Amino acid sequence: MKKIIVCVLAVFGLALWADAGIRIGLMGGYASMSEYGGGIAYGGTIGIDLMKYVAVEIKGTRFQGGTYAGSADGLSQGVMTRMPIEFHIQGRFPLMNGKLIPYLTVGGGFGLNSFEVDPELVSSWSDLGMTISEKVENKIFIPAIGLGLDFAIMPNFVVNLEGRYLMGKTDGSWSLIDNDSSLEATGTLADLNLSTIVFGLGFKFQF
Amino acid sequence: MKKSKRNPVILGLSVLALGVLLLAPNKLTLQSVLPDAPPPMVVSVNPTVDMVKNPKLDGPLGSLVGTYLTQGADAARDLAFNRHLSYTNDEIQVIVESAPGSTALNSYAQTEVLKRQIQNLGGVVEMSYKAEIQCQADIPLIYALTQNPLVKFVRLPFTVHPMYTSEGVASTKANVWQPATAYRGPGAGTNTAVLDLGFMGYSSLLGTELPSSVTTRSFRTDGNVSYGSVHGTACAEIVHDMAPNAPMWLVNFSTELQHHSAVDYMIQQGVKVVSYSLGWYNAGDGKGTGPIDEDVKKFKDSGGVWATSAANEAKNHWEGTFSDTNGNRYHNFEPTNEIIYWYVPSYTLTAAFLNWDDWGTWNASSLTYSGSNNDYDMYLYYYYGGAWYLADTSMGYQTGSQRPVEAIGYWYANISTYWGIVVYRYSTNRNCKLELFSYGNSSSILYNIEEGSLLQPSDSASAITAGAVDWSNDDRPYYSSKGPTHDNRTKPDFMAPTRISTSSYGALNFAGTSTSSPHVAGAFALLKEKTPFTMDQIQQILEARAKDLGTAGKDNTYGAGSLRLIKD
Repeated sequence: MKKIIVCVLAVFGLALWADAGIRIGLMGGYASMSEYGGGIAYGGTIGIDLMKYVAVEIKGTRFQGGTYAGSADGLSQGVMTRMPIEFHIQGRFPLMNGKLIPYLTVGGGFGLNSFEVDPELVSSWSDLGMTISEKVENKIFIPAIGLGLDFAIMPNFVVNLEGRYLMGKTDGSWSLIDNDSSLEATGTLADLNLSTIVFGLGFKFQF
Repeated sequence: MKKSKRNPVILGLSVLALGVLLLAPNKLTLQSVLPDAPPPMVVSVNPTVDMVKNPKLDGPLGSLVGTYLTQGADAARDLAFNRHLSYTNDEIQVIVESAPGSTALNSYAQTEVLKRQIQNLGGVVEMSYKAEIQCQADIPLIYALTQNPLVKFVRLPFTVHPMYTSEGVASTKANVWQPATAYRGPGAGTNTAVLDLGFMGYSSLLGTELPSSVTTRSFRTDGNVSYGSVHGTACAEIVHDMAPNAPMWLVNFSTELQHHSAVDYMIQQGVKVVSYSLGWYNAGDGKGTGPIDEDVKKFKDSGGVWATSAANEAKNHWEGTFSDTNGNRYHNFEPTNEIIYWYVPSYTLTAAFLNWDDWGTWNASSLTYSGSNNDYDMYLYYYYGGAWYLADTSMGYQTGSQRPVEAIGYWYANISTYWGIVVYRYSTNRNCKLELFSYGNSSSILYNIEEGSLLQPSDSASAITAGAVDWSNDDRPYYSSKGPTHDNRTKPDFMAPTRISTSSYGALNFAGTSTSSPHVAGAFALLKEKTPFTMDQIQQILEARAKDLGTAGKDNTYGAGSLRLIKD
């Protein structure tokens, strides 16, 4: 983890030293998880042009799925929330004197995942004298690939359109505690599919 | 040589008892007061098979009419009696459906005409509703009605079953669990069996008081799963009330050998919960061993739960160390008394069962004890005209390989009186601890000791033993057996509802610890269905949730307390 952070900082430091172009932006959009439904996505980016056709970018995105119906061998009814932080390398292809830049982005990152069991389900089991809890693990590396388009409507202002596919599976666990005896039953949930498609529209300030 | 002695009093009383049994009221008495000749026929017919299968009669009436026409009135009465049909004064309640008329007015007129015809032919019209007439009719009239063009059909009234749900479902709060969606549990019901002596009437309750289908298996020699009483059926009703989704097995037996086979069968069938409302006298040392307890252990080892009734013996139990203060070889229940007795109402069976703490070593593979070499005998007396008379003896040998037990019964008490037991030391090398159970008494046995009044397998460490409490207020009825076991383990494990309603016994009419084990079995089946906990964990959960009664903590009167699926 430390090595990854050091590498990323080194790249950005090198870029600043070389007086490369920097873009800072915000985005909003929609994320659709293959298993856990879709919802609004939002986040921010910092990008640096390393050379004419290559840039690097750090993205932080947060999105929440819909109400997952639950499955016998997976998570129960509830809502999945993810917050991946990704590092990407972009292959950029400037058109119209650099005003329009389609790009291909490849990368991956660290994903913070959380799952909230349906409050009604938790409450109904609380009425039975038992406490339900479920959680999903965070994975170090989430591979991601996507396509985007930067359109510079002013010299320092870029409108951005991007779609990405985040791959990856993770593990989870569940627990049922009897409140009267404190007995606990636990189990693990393997290979929870967290694959997600994110579409976003954003803007960037370019320096 | 001592075994060859026979007292003439015994023989005389046996003959007397047999006579009383033969003269007891039964259906022969009913037949004897009814006329032998059939009533006059309304129409003259030649009996044929066609009369049994009559297109205007339902099946039960068809066979009744056919029997009357082919075999006579007595045979028809017998048939009605066996079917428990109300056949008062040779009349039976039927529903006559009149044929539809061409108009509503015609239909009404036809029904009214038909009612008059029924009355003119001697029937009693009780009521009518639209085209149906409810009436009392004798068999010749029923047959005549089938020949009447105004009649569409004649049938018995539909069978109505009152729907009963054990009050224990609500008092244990199982009803709160029942609609819950399973969490990490199997979701499907837990395979549950009721092991009993018989399941009379179970088939008529399928789909209502019992699951729509059950798996039945009889290990009786005659293969009759419906043998005997409705006891097993009522227990199954309770299990179904508690755990409605549980697939159910109804298994019956009559001997301990069949019992062993039944347990093997249940394990092979994947049964995980057994409800057992039976108890055995003299079938083990009270320390959790013996052939019946071994069956329970085997079932638990297969991953199952065996819920058993504690027994109803609290007032029928005495135990104490043999003491012969005057040196005449008879046990002194107190320094001046060598007889222990109990009161038996007339027309009641009575019996006595004695065992003592000299069983030897239990061998689980051969299902035998090494045996006793302390030999006690037991004499049964009855009290009449101010004196005790010897009724029977049990004088088995204990010379080293036999079980330390004596038993006498069942005697038919044709008068209300006291019956008593005397214990005789035939040959012993120490004063053993004696345990005595009486049967048939209407009040406490003299010198009653409620503690330790468990039967087999309620003493089993592998069984979940259930005593009884009233469903409405958690009061313990006087009869509910108490622990501890003979090796001083705490029993019962739970108290569970009694005096509850079933279709088999009626409203609030099923009492005894027999009702307790099905509630406990149902609780295990329900929690196993809904949760991922193991059976051992479910026991701990239920013990933590039980309503503590009596002294704080688990005790030998109330166990962990009254069964609750949700803590009060």
